[in-house]
Amino acid sequence: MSATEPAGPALEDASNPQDGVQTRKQLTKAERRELQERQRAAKAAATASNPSNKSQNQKTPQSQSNKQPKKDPTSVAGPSGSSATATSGKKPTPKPGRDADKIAPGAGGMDKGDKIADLETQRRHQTRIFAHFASPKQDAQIGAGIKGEIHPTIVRLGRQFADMKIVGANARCIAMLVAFKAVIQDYVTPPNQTLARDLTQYLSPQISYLVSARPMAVSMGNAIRELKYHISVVSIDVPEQDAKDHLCEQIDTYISHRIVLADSVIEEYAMPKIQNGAVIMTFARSSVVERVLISAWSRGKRFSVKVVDSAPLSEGRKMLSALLKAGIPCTYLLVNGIGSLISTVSLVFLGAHAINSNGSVYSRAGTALVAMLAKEHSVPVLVLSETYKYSNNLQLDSFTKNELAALSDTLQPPNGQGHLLSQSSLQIINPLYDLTPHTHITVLVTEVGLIPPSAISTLAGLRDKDKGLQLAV
Amino acid sequence: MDILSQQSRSRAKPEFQAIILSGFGSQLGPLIEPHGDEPTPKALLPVKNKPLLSYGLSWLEEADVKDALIVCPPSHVRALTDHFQATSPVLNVKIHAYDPDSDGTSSTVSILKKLTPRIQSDFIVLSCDFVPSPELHLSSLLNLWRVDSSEAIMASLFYEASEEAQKRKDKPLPNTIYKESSILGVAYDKGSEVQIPMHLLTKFGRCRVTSQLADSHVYVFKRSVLELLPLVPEFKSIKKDLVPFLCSLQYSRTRRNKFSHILTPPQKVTTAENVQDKGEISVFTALQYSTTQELDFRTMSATIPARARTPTNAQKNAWDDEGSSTEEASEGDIDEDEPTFVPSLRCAFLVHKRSKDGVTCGRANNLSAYRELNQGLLKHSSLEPKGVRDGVDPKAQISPNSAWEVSSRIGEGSIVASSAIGQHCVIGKQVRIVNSVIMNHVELGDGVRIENCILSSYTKVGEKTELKDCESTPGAEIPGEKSYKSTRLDGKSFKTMSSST
Repeated sequence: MSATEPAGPALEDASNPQDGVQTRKQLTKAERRELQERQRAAKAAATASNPSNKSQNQKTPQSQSNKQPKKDPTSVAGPSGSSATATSGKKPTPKPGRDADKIAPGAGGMDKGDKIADLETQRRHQTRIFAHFASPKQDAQIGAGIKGEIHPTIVRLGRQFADMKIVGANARCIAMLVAFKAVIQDYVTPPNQTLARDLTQYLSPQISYLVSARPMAVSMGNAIRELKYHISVVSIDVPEQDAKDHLCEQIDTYISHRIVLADSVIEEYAMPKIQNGAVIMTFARSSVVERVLISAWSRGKRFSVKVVDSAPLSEGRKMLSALLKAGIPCTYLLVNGIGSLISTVSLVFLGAHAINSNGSVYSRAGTALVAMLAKEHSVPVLVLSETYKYSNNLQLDSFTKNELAALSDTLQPPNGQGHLLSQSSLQIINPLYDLTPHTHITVLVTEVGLIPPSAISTLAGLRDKDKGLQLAV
Repeated sequence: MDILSQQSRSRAKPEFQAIILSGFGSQLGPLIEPHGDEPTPKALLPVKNKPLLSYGLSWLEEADVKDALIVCPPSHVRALTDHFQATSPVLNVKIHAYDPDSDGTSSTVSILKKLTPRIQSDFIVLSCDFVPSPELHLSSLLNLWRVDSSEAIMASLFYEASEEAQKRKDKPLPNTIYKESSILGVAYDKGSEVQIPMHLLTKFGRCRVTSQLADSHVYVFKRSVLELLPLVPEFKSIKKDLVPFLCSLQYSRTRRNKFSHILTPPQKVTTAENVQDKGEISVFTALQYSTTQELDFRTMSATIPARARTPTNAQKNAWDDEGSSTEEASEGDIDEDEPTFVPSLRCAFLVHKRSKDGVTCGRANNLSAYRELNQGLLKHSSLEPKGVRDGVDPKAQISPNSAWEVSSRIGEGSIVASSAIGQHCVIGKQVRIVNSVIMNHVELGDGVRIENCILSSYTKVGEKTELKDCESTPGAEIPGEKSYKSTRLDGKSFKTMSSST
């Protein structure tokens, strides 16, 4: 449910019909734009319009300045010029490496007089590649420009999302639904309106607020769709409090059936796959995988686990401590060590953020590596995921849709590299997700059973037909 | 219309309520003397020509707080109502008079106790004399509060005090013990010794102690802290009694056992095992699934291995910050079978460091701090002459870091440097004002020289008088041809003097 991403490339298509090949489009546009920007920047510098730039400095938030080159290809020199000054301006920058004035060599035939223009275009050239990812948000920008009263629970939740306190498809979905329960309970139908029609409208700005904190997760999107469906079928005769209680009940049912109980069922299905003496490899921290491993151990199975981790979130550490608390013997390694250990591994358990319609798995960045190596070495890869994470998307690479993690206090750059942050030609990118093709996955363990990944779309089709009914196992 | 229809759709209680404590300001000496019958509230003292309280109110407005309650002595109610009742459409300001306690004094804690029925949500306590610096946003403190998923009970804001304040001997800064973003203890009046309780060190092995931070008296409290107040009747001051007490809850086991259930009622957490019985899914369920959290719940599950209780393992047995707890059977209420969430009762802590160009923030609760704030703000005002110099004689010189009001008249040949001049002042010719604060309705005769002074409202200074390092009470009439240094210029004493001469 990422509303912003399709808009960017679509606008580009509309404005540049003469571009041919997809891969070269950006380059040619970049060259043309560099020329334009150089001329405009020279003009802007000549007129020394500093006050007007500064005033626009305050108005344009950081993320919008990133998106402007993408969204308005014919933007005026003022905003784009000032957006560059905004990045070099007095604000503490969320994206490091934009402060100092440094020329990157190889910019191609520009003379010394256009130093500032070079820097701007260079910077913009760098960001353009990843500009269509949601750019990491700074403090003040959550909910900027969203009209309507935002419930305090949602404000709090947005802050928790942005600060990476609640991370993970399941966690975010449950937290969001719990917050919506509070919102619904506090909701009052205005006169001359029906709850069925008005509540959806009331929830929309709240949802946008959460999306502005962090892009919507597939799990969240599916849950919201269910919720909106349940809201729309509320009968007009039902008294308001009963309707609200009913909706909260539906939310609770959704969580308990599609997530919590689904996890228990997945546990049952995955259990026979774990044999005594198995060596299980897992990546980062998946709530389902953790659950399965701990409960298998508590049932008496004896195995060992290799936890693969990666920066910057280092969720593997939390997984490690949870498993160690349960008494499971573990090994901890980083992604670069997989190659050496994969031959000793008997089974790979992975979690998922979303399952796409062709069976490919969209999960934490690094999962694809683990799956690929496992496939190479004929190690079975089991992806544990509930069915509510299914998404109708068809994704072919990790590039078109992804999310960048903001470097903040919680996410530090790699150890000892802090001094590099001040260099302007350095841009640090932390993609959060990647795509594992379905060919690398042996089987998908869901609450409806062990299915081959490409079969997930059939199941979803069955569900959609009987809208609102649980799929019979 | 849209806003109205939106507002009627939710009866959510507001996230935060602000309580502003506005006292007499007894440490400000002559400045708060009543002018005739009119009392001079501390909250209305001008700092750079704006009332002191307006800084706090605009700070609250910037952070989107919708409700503010100003608590002041009964005599101040009228003056404050006139000024602040309806200043902002977003911020709803109410004024509440507090009656002193039965023994004549009033303490901040007793004010909170009396206000308990009026407070429905988590609340922010502000002092009326806190002036924040422009880059310090209340929303940073509020975000710290919001983000904390382990049930913090308090969030406080400390700022790095200026060097002058650090060197003062009569009012030393407190010793603050903290670790990362939690404050563990504040100790006042301890001289050069810092006492650190052993159980603090047991639980928090590494912590920092500093005496460079001053308390801004800006706190965010959980609503349930109010329930605690009747149990501790001996507390008088929020700053000196309540805050250290709440900090001690983080490490003092006996106090935790006594008060923890009041502050955070035990929450049963829905996990996969008990979801079908419960039906009530809360945010703690979500936190269980979060990959960056490590919240642990007290259960009787067999998976937690027993640990030997040796002193070296004392640290492992202590709780860690996320609120996990080991299963010591000596703890009273462990016999539940259901998992409960163990709150950390954390006191969050935000430090505002002084920026390089030293824009001041601080409390104007005594004379030197008041002066310092004025000077600091004047220095950093980007005040161009604005071209409105109607009342100012063209031959008068006003330095760029001074502030004056349009309604004041400044005579020929006067020099104003680093000073703030209030409204409706009449300043004569050849007057020299350096480094001073002149409030409203002040009359200065010709040839007066003023250096480092604070002249309250309605002060009249006769001709050719020299004042240095003085403060005047409101309405003081200072005769001409005199010279005063470092004195308190009291209106009453002058009246008796002039009547006797």
